[in-house]
Amino acid sequence: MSQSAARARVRLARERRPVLTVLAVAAYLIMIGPVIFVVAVAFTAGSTITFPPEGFSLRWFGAAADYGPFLDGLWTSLLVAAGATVIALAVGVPATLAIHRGRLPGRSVIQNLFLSPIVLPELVLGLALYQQLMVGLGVTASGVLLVGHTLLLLPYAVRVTGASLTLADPALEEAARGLGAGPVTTFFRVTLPVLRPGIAAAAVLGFVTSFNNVPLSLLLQGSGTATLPVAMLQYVQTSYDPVVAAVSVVLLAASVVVAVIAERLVGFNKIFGGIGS
Amino acid sequence: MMDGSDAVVRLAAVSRRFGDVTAVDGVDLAVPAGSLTALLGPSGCGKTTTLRMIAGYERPTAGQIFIDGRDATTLAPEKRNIGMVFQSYALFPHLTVAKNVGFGLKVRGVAREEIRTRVHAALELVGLSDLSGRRPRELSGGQQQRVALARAIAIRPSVLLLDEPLSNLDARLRVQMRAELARIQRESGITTILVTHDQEEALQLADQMVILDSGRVAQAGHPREIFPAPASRFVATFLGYENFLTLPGRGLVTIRPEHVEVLPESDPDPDGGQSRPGTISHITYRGTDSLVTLDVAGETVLAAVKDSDLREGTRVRAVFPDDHVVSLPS
Repeated sequence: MSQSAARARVRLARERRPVLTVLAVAAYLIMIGPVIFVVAVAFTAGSTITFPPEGFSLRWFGAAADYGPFLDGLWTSLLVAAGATVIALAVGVPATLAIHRGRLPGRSVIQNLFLSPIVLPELVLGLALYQQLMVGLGVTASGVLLVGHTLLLLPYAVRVTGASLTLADPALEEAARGLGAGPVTTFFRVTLPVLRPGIAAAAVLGFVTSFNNVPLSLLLQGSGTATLPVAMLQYVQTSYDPVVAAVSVVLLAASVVVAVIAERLVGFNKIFGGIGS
Repeated sequence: MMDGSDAVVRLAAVSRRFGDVTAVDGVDLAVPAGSLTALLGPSGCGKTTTLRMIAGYERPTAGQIFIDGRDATTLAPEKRNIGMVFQSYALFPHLTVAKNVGFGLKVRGVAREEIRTRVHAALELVGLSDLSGRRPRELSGGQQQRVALARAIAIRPSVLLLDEPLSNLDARLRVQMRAELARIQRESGITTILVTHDQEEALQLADQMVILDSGRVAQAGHPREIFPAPASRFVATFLGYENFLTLPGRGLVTIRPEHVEVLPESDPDPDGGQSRPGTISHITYRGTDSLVTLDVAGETVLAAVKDSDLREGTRVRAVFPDDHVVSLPS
């Protein structure tokens, strides 16, 4: 490239910069604004949701901790998210390996089958599970909830680990075999360690997806199996006070912690880069 | 040399078909102990498939493969004791250099102390002993290549298999690593099979050169035997013979551009060679010489000449010395 062309490009970038800056600031305000509002409200000393908040107190955090359905919901959410993530990975990782490395007939059909829950409306999925499993087979509410969330997470498990498997050099496994490692040793010493960032990314993404899910959890709730988001939704329908804001702040803090850990473990680029490819 | 009695690797009529495509077609090959054999050919000639069959990553659809005198045709790769260096190097990204090199020894159950000694020796051989704690991604391409080589050598393989080992390096490093490879092979004395599409690499490194064309052996032998006497037009083309013409009494022949002499038209026919009148249609200056394109009775002849006072459009005499003219089957 000629020097003058390079200079022209720099000049162009500089001219665009004020517009870009304004847009970026606006975007951040739109994203962060409501969050700031919720955080502020959570620390209010007053008893209604108003902005700016009236004084400062932690009373609504105490109220949230004393409210039974939230604690039960939190416990349910954590159990379901953890259980569904583990099962989805236990099923999804071997399936991914079979799809990518095996010599299966109709690989793309199998892959699409595993990815299909992502395009299926969750309400349809929930209704189907409700009718077939809960009503038809008499599976307990918590069992169906676990199955539903597992189905929800399977596409993530298959897609994200699949992406990191596609990026891995297939010659790695051949190299291990050539060096004298049998298929089992090769799997545990090479394949699995190479996939570890992908599996970690799928786990984080799956856990968060399950934890935040509302439609499926709402449809499949039985007595005592309301997840935290469902419990919050039900609370807001009847009362309008800062308790929900306080819970939201706790969730927000937890999300930040998870994000930081995920970033340290694998890096966001890998997590989100893995989904698109 | 080719009788196969002292061969570490021997292929007997090995073929490999993929659906309707025959990638390797009845290849016979004997690799003598301690030698370096180069499988040479353009892409798609079956050289990599042949190497992968020797390693055990592909099964022949016909024929047999013997390693150390044992029938290895259907043996799994881990049971063959081969050391393969992949084109992509295939270093384990989650392991350090030392752990990569020691991998084959560890899975063989070699004692830790001995692994340490042998890893060190292998890294010493490739000149990387001070980088043993690094991860593969922290190394340059050339260093990764040496690690891959050390990893393959550390297991003391029956045969070292190199799949286009230098193709991912830049030109200068490639020449340097080529010499290095020759040294390492000589010092370690490991029987080696090298796959390459680079004839220079094969000529320089190989004791035995096997040129493959569409899955068949086109010609095999020592580079000094093959280079001056290509057996077919395919081999000649691949080795850089650019002129193909019919001479009276000799039929179809080939000659390298640097052996074609260009004389003034009025000169008499020289001794020990035939000549043809022609016109210079183009001259390309190349620094050490000029490539002269001649039109000889409608045929194009290339001549590399040091003399620079030739002009385009001049009538000249192209001389083909008998010593350098190679007859080909027509």
